Amino acid sequence: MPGDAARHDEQALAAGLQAAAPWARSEFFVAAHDAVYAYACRLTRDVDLRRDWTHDCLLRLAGEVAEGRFVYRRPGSFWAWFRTRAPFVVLDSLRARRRQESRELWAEPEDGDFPDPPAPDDPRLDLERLEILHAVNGCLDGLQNEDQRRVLALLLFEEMSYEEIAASVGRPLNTVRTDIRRGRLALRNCLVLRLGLER
Amino acid sequence: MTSECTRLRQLILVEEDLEAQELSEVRRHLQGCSACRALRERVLAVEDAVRSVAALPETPDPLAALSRIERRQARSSLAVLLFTHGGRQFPWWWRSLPLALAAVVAFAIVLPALQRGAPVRDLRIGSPLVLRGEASAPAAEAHGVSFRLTESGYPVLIHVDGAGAVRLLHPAFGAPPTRLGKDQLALLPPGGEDAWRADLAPGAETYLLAVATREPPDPGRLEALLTVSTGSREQTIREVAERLSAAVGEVSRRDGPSAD
Repeated sequence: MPGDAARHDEQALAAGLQAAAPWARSEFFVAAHDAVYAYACRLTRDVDLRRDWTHDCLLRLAGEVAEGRFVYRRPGSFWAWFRTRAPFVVLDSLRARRRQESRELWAEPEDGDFPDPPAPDDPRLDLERLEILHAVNGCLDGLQNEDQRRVLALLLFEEMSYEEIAASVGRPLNTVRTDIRRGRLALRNCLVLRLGLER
Repeated sequence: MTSECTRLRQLILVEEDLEAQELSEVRRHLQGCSACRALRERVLAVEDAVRSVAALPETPDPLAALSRIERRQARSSLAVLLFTHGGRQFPWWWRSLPLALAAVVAFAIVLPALQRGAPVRDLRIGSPLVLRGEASAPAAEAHGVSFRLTESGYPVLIHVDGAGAVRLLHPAFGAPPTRLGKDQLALLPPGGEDAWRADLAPGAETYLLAVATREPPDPGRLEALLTVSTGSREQTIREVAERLSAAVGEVSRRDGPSAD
């Protein structure tokens, strides 16, 4: 279980990751690796892809904490954020792979070279949904205003109330409301353009 | 899309954040505008897709459902991650490990090859009594060789007498090659004192010994070694040694005292 194997408490670990401390990265990798790897195993049989996606995910999440995308609130909040955020990152890798496959359709794939075809009853593996998730990630990353990006991430990925967000980021509620409204508008305008929603 | 749609579009996209007056205006427009309603629904569907992604489950051992091989692959994945990005300090020998492994592999390959080239040790020349340790002085008229092998194989012994005549002493003509074990004392040619005395002509003695370590030598090919061009005794020895080396393996040479 993420966090159980950690030697430092969760808050210290999050602070260490924010400071990009090597010990914190190592500890985070040890504690989080297996959960992400097991998730990647559900998406592909390819051993190299499982490893690459797991590594990409953990490095990206460590980077997001270092960039201040995660705000520690209370015990359990770091690992809750991790469990919510990690699937998005791994699915983004899966989407990139599927896009690559679609470009390489002319080539004869070798056995085991590509991920397994999606299970029809598993919406996570639907390419259209993967594209949507990728667009959300991309539009969120593209927000110029750091405050707007942070509060929107808390709203979207952690489903926090406005009051909780204000308490987490330590800003007045009205300021947070304004950031959310402006950020949401920028995000949705971006999504309308990227996904062609205005048809 | 009407001009009203364009004007309200920015409000439609943030319906959750509107004040009461703006909200009622937007809702009135949405009731009568299917295009804006559809846009609004598509935007909300996108965010539903985000929320529909299940979080990683909380389990004590996430790898429990995997096979043993997959768990081993997971361990390897973590080790690589820590090594490349974890900032862990590995012991000094860790970095030398690939070099050490390469050295071990090279040694394991090269050493047997070297041993294959020279599989003979303790090669001596003398009478069978001396070679067996039963006499202290050589019997000048009765020579042979003794030796041990560093690995089992089929020895081939050629004798060149003082006149340059070449004879195959072992395996004897028509006899199958004999396999000798590692470290076993070999006395060639085999047999008792009489056999040695009968086999060998007096004069300068030169023995050429080679050992086939993989498979018995072809007797027909051994006979062909004995046909040499006319030349001096030393030329004959060199020619035979070269052929023996090509046909069987590295040649060990011993020269005995002249019996004349």
